[in-house]
Amino acid sequence: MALISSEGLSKSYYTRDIELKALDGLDFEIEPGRLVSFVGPSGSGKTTLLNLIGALDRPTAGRLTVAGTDVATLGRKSSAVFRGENIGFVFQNFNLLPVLTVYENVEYSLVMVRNVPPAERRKQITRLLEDVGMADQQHKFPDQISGGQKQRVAVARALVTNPRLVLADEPTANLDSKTAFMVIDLMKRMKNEFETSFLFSTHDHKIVDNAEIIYTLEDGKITDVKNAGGDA
Amino acid sequence: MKIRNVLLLSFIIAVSAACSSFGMTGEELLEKVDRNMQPKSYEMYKKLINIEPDGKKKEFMLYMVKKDNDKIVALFISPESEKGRATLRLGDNMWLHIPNVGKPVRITSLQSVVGGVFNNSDIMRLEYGFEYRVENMSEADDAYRMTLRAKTDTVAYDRLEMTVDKTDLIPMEIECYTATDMLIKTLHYRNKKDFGDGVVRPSVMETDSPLHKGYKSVMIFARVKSREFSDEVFTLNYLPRVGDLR
Amino acid sequence: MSRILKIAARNVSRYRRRTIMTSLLITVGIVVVLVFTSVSGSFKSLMVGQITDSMLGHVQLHRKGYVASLENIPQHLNMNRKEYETLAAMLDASPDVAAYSPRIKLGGMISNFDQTANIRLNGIYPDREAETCPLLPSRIIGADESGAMTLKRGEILLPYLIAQGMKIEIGQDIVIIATNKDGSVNGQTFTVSGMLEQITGPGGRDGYIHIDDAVSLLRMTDGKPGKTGAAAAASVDTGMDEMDEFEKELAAMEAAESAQKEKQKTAEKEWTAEISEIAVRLEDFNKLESVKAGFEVALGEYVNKKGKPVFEVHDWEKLSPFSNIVQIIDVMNLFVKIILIAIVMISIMNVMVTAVYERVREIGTMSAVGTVPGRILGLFVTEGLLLGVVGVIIGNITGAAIVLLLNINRITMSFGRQEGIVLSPSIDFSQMLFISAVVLVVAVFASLQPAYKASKMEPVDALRHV
Repeated sequence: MALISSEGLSKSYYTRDIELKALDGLDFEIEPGRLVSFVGPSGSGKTTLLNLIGALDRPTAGRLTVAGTDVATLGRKSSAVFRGENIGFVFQNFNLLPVLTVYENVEYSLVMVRNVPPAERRKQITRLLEDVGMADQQHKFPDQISGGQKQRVAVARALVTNPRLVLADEPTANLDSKTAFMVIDLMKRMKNEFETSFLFSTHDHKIVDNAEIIYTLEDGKITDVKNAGGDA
Repeated sequence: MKIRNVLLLSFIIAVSAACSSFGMTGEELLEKVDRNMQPKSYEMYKKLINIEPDGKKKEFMLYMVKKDNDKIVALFISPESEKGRATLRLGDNMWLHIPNVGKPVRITSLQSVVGGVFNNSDIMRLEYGFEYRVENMSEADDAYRMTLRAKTDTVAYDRLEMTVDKTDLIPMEIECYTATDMLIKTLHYRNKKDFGDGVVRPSVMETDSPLHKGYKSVMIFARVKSREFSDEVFTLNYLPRVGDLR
Repeated sequence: MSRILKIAARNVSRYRRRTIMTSLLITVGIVVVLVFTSVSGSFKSLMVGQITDSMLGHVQLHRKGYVASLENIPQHLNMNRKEYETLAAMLDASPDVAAYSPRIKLGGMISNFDQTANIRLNGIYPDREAETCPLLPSRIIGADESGAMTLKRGEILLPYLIAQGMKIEIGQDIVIIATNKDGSVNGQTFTVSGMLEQITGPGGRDGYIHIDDAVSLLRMTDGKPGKTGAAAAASVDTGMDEMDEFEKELAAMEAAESAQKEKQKTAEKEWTAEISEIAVRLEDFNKLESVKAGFEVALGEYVNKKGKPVFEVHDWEKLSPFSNIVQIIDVMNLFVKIILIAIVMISIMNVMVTAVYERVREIGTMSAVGTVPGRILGLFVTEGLLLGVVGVIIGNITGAAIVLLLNINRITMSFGRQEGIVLSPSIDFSQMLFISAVVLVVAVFASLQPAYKASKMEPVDALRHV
């Protein structure tokens, strides 16, 4: 059963009377446990597609099923719940909560979204922090760590709830190439360890090659699908 | 011609007959009235009764003495609550002496030491001829009518309309008016008596006022006698001793 | 919940300067409200106490129409014995009445044998008056400083200003001349046993004499009962000749001059007083409204032949011009509180709107990782609430401290001739709690709109925000 499947997925933005088609009738399916990348120039619709898959936005037309749920049916509250249970996010700008420590940032979803008891939390968080190599920085605040460290924390945060998939929109855009590779490598490892799907968008071709499946988008349409390894 | 003369003569006789009763001037009539009412210097007893609309009465008895034109002293002899109080009038000035109180207190002619319709100038009344001049006089069948005008501002009533009995030359009725021709009170005289000393006059005077509807005051006169007094009697210091005169 | 609190608290302390400024504003507002209400409250109760306890009593009862003509001292509107006893019975039966004092009000002249001046007097029973108006004895400047109210027959308490104006001293004899109901005049000598400080309001410049002296001064004895008007008039006209009748009376009187005893002497032992007003003191001042209403209902039964009520009831407020000042003070109190609420509302709303605007991307992130809108709302409302809490705590402490300081420093004020009245403002804890609760509620309200906006944000738009 595909993790994500879409049929005629479209998203349009309307300004005055002009319709801007960001996505135009996408059809695709993505199996679970894959490392997928979406590439394309700016404005090609990568971010829009990730937003739709992440139930951050709603499609204008077509169908999009993620983890068995038709995301078009989700309201604001239900989409938040859906995200909290199924999806992790890694942002281009890291988006760590500045008033919380590294540990607390990772802990956030477990407390505010899932309500997991403390002892269990501690186990999960500590393990993840060690995995991403930030365990010794857990008491620091975001403004005290580097960009690469922040992104590592973000990855830990995204994984702490054991989501079905993690969406990363240009996760390496603000990182130097060394750190960028490190983060992608981390994602690969995490994918293998937790069997979580990773979908990331990028226009950095160096990073792209690490993906298993590469979708190329242009003007809101999928123009190419490449299978770098594994089944299509 | 003879008839004309007879007619003329009758006319002259008639006129002179009429004139003969007009032989007395207003002033002369007023003087006669005053003389009939009281001697110039006298003592008398007065009873004042104030009657309220519900019939309640308050009665006072006074002993009054007068000398000259405008010296009067009145002493309360009844009821017990008033006994010993005395009032003095010298011209336009009046005082009230109360036995408890050290010094006499000034009062005015329009106030009233007894309440009711009478005011102080009604109680301690001076001769009409002294306070008023005759402005007009007319004659009816059984009475004279005189209009009297106050000589000064301080007189209580600006104008009196007096009806005088033709035979006895005593007042029957007096209407008292203000300067604005408002009727303040009416005095009604009756029960003629001979008090001696040439004093033949009404013994009862009743008064009512449109300003005190339902209220009536009555003055009864007794023992009006001519009597002389020393000037000392009409001083403030004598007031506590007025009773000695009786 | 505690997590929301922790996050909210961290956020609040994140912008230290902003938080301090806002809290300071709220603190100042609370301090002003606390201090103002406690000072004005003590001023008010002091003045009310002065007026009701030195002069007016809590409630007054009159015959209907008396108060409207109060200035004229209408003797014809005094109560007769039966009317007074009706009222006295009602007051005696009421458990809410602590004391009451019948008064005869009269006007007249005072003379020191040299000058005369106008004076208004109350005839009272000294002990009952002191029970009804406990501060009256303290108004007396003079011989007896013990605080007891002694006023014997033949004595008079004069208003200080009149005594001063006529150069009358304590122990001196003066004469009071009063106009009686029928228009006649009576006088009596009195010894000045003390002088009274003036008080604002009606009755503040009255003198006091013993009620029995008022009865004799006003010669309150019934007139001789007579027949009805017409019959009386008839009896004057007919029957024995009036002058002869008068003669007989004179003769009889002269014969037994001293024997004539008037009913007056025995009448003095009988109750002949006509009471002008009854001042009433209640057990509990706070029950004033309900007790007064009770009197009105009870007395509403008594109507005259025309169906109009015989009596009227007034509370001290209706009788004193000072009640206007009390109302003004109450209004000012209200305004100060409204201003406080406005300050809280504006400052917190301002801060929260800014906070939400500054953290749009954070909000988007929170939503993205799965925080439901309700939680986001709660987070911001909690932040606003915390701002209020800080202001409230500091404000209450500071306000209480200032009030305490005022008490220690003993601020005094003058009121009329009285100087050095100590204003002792007190902290009303229930007021404090109420104001704090109001501030917190307003803080929550003020945060609601921006918090709602935050919770309603579409994550996709929020994340796009710079």
